[in-house]
Amino acid sequence: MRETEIQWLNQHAAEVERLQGKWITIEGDKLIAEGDSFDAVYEAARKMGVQIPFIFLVPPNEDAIFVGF
Amino acid sequence: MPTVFYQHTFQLLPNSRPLIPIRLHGRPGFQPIDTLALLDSGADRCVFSDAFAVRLGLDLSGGRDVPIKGATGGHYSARIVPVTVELAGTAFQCHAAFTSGNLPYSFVGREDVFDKSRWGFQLGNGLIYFHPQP
Repeated sequence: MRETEIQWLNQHAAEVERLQGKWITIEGDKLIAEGDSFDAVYEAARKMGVQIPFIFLVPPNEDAIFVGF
Repeated sequence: MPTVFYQHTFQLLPNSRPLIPIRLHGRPGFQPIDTLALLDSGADRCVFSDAFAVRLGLDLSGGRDVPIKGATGGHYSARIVPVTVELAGTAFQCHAAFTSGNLPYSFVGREDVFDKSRWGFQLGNGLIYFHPQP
């Protein structure tokens, strides 16, 4: 599931890192929307005809050790 | 030592915590949503942003109100409602917590997922193994 999108993430790590704290949606090998709100990104994907959007929040790449939120 | 079998392998994103793609299914008539979730066997249950719930047609007002807290002191209110979490083609019927709190991730936790499946980790090789039975 979502192998193409995972491959895209692997190949575009630097681009994704610049989007920390943003919601993004990827379809195939394209980043199709980004934004501060889940709803805006979801709507953008649906308007582009995406039936099942792949949406997630790009987590912060902090130096701090993560042990839960 | 026992031999352990797995059905599916996830490739870990580089320099990443263990994130895997999942599909959330809500009420009939509402489209599923795919997302990345952090595998967290230390999380009591699955936890998601409530933004997902709205788009999945889930009625949070009917859910049990519970506090959730993180290891580092983050503390939010949440509602527990049923949702189906699909992993590598296997559907898990979950009672997940949905919160408006500022979570850095979606979390796949112990109840309803880890306790009903089998996982192996070779993080040094970027691999996570999954089997849809304990």
